[in-house]
Amino acid sequence: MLLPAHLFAAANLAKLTTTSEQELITVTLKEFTIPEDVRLALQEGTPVSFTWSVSIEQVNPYWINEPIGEIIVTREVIPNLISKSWMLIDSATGSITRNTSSLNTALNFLTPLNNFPLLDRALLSESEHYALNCKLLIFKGERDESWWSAYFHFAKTVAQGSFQQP
Amino acid sequence: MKLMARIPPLALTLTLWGVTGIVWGDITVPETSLIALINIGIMGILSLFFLLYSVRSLQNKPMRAGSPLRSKLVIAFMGILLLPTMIIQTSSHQVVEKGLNIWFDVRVDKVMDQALHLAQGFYSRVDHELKQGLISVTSDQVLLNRFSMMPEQFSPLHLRLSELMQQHNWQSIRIYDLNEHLVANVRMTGLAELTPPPLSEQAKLALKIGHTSTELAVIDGSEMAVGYAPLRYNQKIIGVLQAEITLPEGIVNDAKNIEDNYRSYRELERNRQAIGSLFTHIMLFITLSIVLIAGLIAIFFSRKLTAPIDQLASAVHRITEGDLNVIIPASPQDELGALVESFNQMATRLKQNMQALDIAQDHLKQSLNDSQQRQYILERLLANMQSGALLLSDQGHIRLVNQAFQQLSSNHDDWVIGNDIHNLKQHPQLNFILKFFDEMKDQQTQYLQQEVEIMMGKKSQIMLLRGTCLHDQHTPLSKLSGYLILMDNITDLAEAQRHKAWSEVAQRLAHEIKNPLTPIKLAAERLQRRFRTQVDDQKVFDHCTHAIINQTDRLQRLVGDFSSLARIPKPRMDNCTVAAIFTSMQELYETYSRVHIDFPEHELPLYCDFDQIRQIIINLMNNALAATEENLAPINLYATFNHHSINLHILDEGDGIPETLAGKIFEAYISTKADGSGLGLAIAKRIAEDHQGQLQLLSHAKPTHFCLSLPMQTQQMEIPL
Repeated sequence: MLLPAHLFAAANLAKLTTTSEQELITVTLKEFTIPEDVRLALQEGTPVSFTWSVSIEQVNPYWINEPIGEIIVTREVIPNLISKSWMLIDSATGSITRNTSSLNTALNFLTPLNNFPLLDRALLSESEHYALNCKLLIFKGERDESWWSAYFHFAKTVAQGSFQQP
Repeated sequence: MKLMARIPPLALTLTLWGVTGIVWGDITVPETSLIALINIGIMGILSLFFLLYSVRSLQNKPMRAGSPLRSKLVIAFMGILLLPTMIIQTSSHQVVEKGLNIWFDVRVDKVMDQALHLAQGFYSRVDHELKQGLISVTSDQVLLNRFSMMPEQFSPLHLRLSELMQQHNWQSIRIYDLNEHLVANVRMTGLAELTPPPLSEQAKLALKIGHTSTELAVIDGSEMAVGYAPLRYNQKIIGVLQAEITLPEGIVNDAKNIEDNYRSYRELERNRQAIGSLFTHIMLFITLSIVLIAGLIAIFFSRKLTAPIDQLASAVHRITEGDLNVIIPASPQDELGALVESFNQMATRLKQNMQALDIAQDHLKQSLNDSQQRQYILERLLANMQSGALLLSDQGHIRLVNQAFQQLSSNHDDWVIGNDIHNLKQHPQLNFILKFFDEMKDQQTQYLQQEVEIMMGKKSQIMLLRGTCLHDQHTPLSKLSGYLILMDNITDLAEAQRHKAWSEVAQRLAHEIKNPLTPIKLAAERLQRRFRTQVDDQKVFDHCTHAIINQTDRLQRLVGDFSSLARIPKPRMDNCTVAAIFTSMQELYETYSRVHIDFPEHELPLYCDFDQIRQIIINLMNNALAATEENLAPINLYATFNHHSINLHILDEGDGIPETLAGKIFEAYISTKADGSGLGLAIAKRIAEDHQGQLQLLSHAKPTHFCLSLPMQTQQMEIPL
């Protein structure tokens, strides 16, 4: 019997590491490789958007983890084949866009989780364990904003991590 | 054959499972997940249907009538449809694969690349020229100085912009300040807009990050190349310059179309596998839908087709269960309709016949009940009859014999229904019945009656036999059907009749004899008193007169006995005890040392005439004393009891009673004594019988044992047994 491929992907998950900077907890995605078909799609002019969903939960050893918070970041790259450039759009910061003629720049733009501010330390309790879970929804082509599209596009867990609040 | 019938649904189930396994992986592909799920669902439903049918057929359970036929029709219909649809499916898959190969041919791929390169080349040239111009203009110090001194230098700024626009052959030039406000707007032709267009994203980028860029756009229906470059004054961005060049008509749209088409083509190429898979799934969906719809239609039509069969089977089942009120609704006018109509006619006739049978059965039951009732009454009558009844066939086979007959014949085991009466020859004591039957047959009389004296054990019994010929009333000639023999034991009746006759004679004789005896005796005594001294021979005279007196006494005693036997009074019943009787005996015979009386340990009450019972005991004791007068053997008197009677026993070791007289000892005039009247035991027996008891001779000698049994009364039941 064939099973969905993502069920086997758990062993290949990337890592999420955290750092405490002043009053913030920042998160960094490591060992994550952008799929080759994304690069190909951008090269061939297909818009690509990445929706990152990073959630943090307080670990309860004998019960369901308690959700603490979640941030969602959406990055979109729209290629322009005529001008050989890629327009970079950060949906979280509104309409700020920029053009780049470098594909690598565009690809790096899609993976923003590098010292990315996650949440205020004041929201965490001392000496508690927390689990991080990162899901990614890759959308190739024009984004389908219809209400039912959510039922056919599922984010996949790509990275996990944990930390203990000192 | 049955196995062959089970293979197709199983094969179809396995095929569907195989296809499900193949398409299972497509659930994870976003482009085909929905249709794959739908297809898997449909295949699941179909495989479940086939599997259920397979399991039911494998279980060998009795199926509902018409169900196998219906299932076979549906399976066959779907199977027939599956084959061509699968061929179509395979063919169309091949066609699509080939079409995709042609569509995404290398030549097409090359053309698309070349078209894109062409568009890119054109744009690159325009971009290069426009950027060169923008760099040149944005580095023009005159322009920058005038812009920096705005708004005082508004007109000179416009003038300089007009010069630069003409110099670079641009269509228009606009300058926006840091606040994205339009500061200057110069056009080659036409008037400037009253409301300037909003700053594009490219312009904002140029303004904010100092990035020079170009783009192709369609403004007011004109296709243009638009460039944006930051204006720097003293190393600071103070505004942005927007320049437009009108391009030949259709160039921009063509370039955009090339880009769109190239993008679409590459997307399709990347999704080539998914497209093929999607097409396959759509075809599979269509195939499955056709099969499913065909199956539903087949079920509908097969149900309609087999409904009369189902109704027929159900109706037959109800008839077998006994429900004859079965009428199947009218069916279409076809062969099945005719069959249904015939069945209805058959059921109606069957119902009528069954009703007639029921009526006949009721009549028969009634007759049987009457017959059984009569037979029961007859049997009860025969069973309760005192007379013995024997019903024989004309050939002499026993048809019926009642209990009384068996008891009278003293042979219970040989009276078996169906036995030939001639088998009774082996029992000599029953020969009188066989003889009577043979005589009846030989004489061919309708009625025959005989009195027969037979010996039963040591007793003589008188049997009255009455025989009647039975004729079958239903046959025209009243054919002889059997014989009915009635038998009665009239020994007691005969004895009673004899006793009655004898009593009458005895009474009359006693009366006639007794009357002259007293004057004779008195006369003899008178003669003795008066003439004894006057006679010559006094000795002879005494002898004669004493003889007359003694014989007269004896005659008087004899007459008294006769009279007593003839007129035994009715017993005056009263309560007494065995001990009381024994006490009176002890007082009476206390002088006889050989008389031993054993008083009972328990008080044995009796309900009797004390004097009469005492008379019996005295009679038996006197007989015993007489019998033991010579050898002085002991005499025992004791009592026993059981549930039914109290028994008084008298035993002596005297001479005993001759065996020849033992059976007649209780008859009158039977005596072993020379001077006995032979009436004592007869009287004793009568008294015992008047008390509902009996007097028996249990042993005629060594010892001579008499037993007087008196019935145990209800109030006597407290005796511990």
